[in-house]
Amino acid sequence: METILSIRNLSVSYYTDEGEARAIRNLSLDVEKGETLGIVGESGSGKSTLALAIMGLLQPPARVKTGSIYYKGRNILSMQGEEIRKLRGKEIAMIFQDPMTSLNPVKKIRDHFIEYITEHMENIDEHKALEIARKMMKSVGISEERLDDYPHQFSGGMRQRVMIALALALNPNLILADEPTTALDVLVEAQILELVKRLKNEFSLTLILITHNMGVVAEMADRVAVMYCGRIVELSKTEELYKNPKHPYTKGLIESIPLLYNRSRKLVSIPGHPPDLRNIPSGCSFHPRCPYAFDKCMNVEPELEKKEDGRYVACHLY
Amino acid sequence: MHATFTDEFMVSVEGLVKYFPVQKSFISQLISRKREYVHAVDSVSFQIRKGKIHALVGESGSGKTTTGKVTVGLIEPTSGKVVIDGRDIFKDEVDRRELRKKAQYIFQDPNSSLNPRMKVGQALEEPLIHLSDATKQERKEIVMKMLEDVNLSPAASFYSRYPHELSGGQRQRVVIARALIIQPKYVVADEPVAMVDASVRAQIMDLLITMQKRLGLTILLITHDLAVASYMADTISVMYLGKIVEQGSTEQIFSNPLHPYTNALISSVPVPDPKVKREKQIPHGEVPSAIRPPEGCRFNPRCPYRFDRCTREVPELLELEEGHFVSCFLY
Repeated sequence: METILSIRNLSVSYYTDEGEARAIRNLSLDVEKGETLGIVGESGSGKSTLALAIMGLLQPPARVKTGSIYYKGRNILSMQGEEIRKLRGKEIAMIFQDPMTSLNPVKKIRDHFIEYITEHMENIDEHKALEIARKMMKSVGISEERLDDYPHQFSGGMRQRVMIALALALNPNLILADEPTTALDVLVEAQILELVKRLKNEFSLTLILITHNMGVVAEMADRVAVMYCGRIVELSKTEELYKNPKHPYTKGLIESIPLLYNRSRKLVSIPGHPPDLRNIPSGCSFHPRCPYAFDKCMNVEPELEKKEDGRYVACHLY
Repeated sequence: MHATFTDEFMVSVEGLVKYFPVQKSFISQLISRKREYVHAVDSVSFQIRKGKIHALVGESGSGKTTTGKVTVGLIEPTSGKVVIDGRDIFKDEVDRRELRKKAQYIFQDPNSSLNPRMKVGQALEEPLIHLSDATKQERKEIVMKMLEDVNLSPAASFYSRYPHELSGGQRQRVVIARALIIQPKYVVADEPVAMVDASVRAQIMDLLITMQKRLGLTILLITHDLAVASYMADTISVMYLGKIVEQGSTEQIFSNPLHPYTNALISSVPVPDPKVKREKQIPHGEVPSAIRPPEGCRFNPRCPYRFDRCTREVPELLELEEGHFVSCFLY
């Protein structure tokens, strides 16, 4: 296995008038080439901040406090202007949640492609760029005539297809998809997920899929990292995670989802609510909501450690 | 489903139609006089038994929210009848104030349905001021009790907080408490957990079920999430482009789905269990425009089983087994 992305001791905070919100706290994670890594967590868990950090898109009031993100051995966080712009698009590309706000409403789809391709590639003319655009539209299942349309002429699902086509236009290796189907209806969501699966194989991509939906992760990911309050609390192969969740938070998440194929199952809800990032509980940040919490949990923050069975979990129970 | 109204039903909707006129620009008004309409709801009928939860499920644009709003009198229908607790709510003599006391609406987004400048206590007191004769002292007592009932405890501490001081789940509890405080008989819950964090979702669903049992409420649950409907509802109507395509008990809908659209919906829900492998039947394309809905069965352009008749005639909602209705020419 070749590690394509390696995050080491990353801490990111938002500095607001009401104080420092610690969005990511001392997080380390390796992404293997060719895998689909699911990152799940609720709002405020830090998953989107992590995506922005990987893309080098963090802006004030966010600031990286410590850590590094190595892509193929180079630290993204120490790259400057031109260097990081070359990385984006050609090496790492991102698919955002809301395709409506990520496309410019006064520009035709063809112009989105032309701008994106000519900005990031040297020595390429509009003609060549359009050729790529046509090819990409075809691979996401849209006829090339629609390159002349404006974003509002597309439905939500079609717009997300266009976003995917754009993201893949420069043939990147790593794709970051941040809640790519959250704004879509279930049938369209299913179509887009199928499309992403197919393209991932076709273009031999590495995929980081960020979502709050445990169902989407179960269907897509090879491994899953569960985030809570800026940290990874559990990391394991998808099947193992669902079969035998270790961290009480993961367990709670899985047990609190109603299932269509097992409707008689009693739901166990996690008590309380996610903490305020400006005021994170001491010790393990999940301890106020944890049914198994004991003394140590209140004082000592557990580290994400590899256990005997090869699984990673940040919990004093193991 | 045009049974005569009896005492066992709290809500009876019959042949409900709602068209919204399409706003046109000045220039296109000059070019064409023809008015266009969004066919948001097109002859929808259902009934809800007293003390039961009925779910309207469907994708965005299926007309579920419009239907829900009409049933509490927030929108006037183009035609059709809504009877709540034995009274036709669109007859002239119906007192709006009486209707508000009986029927309440829980809006989807707790962030935008609470006044940011109003303390929780004030927000909950507001309906009591307008819709009850309780004295100031009594109102405070009712509010405090309601706060405890929805697990915002200690009540005294939540009473004087502002919405921004609450978590998303707590805000949704306040919104639910506000709808229930005047003891309505019928409540529409519009996507009550869509904006709530995953770990808090089960708490809110359980709260609604507990309150419903305790108060003997009748609930119309509007949701795009089939799993939420399966967990909460007694009966379900599946809507597509303004029409009900299938209706039945929760058991009937999920154990024996009949309409191709219901089948597609169920099979495309991502399953949170990697062991479960299914053949997905995803229909191609997306929901067409409700301004010019397809002729015949509205689902026909996307239906894998379509035949001639589907493109010409509109299928009726027929009862196939007791309480299980489907609108499809396959049956």
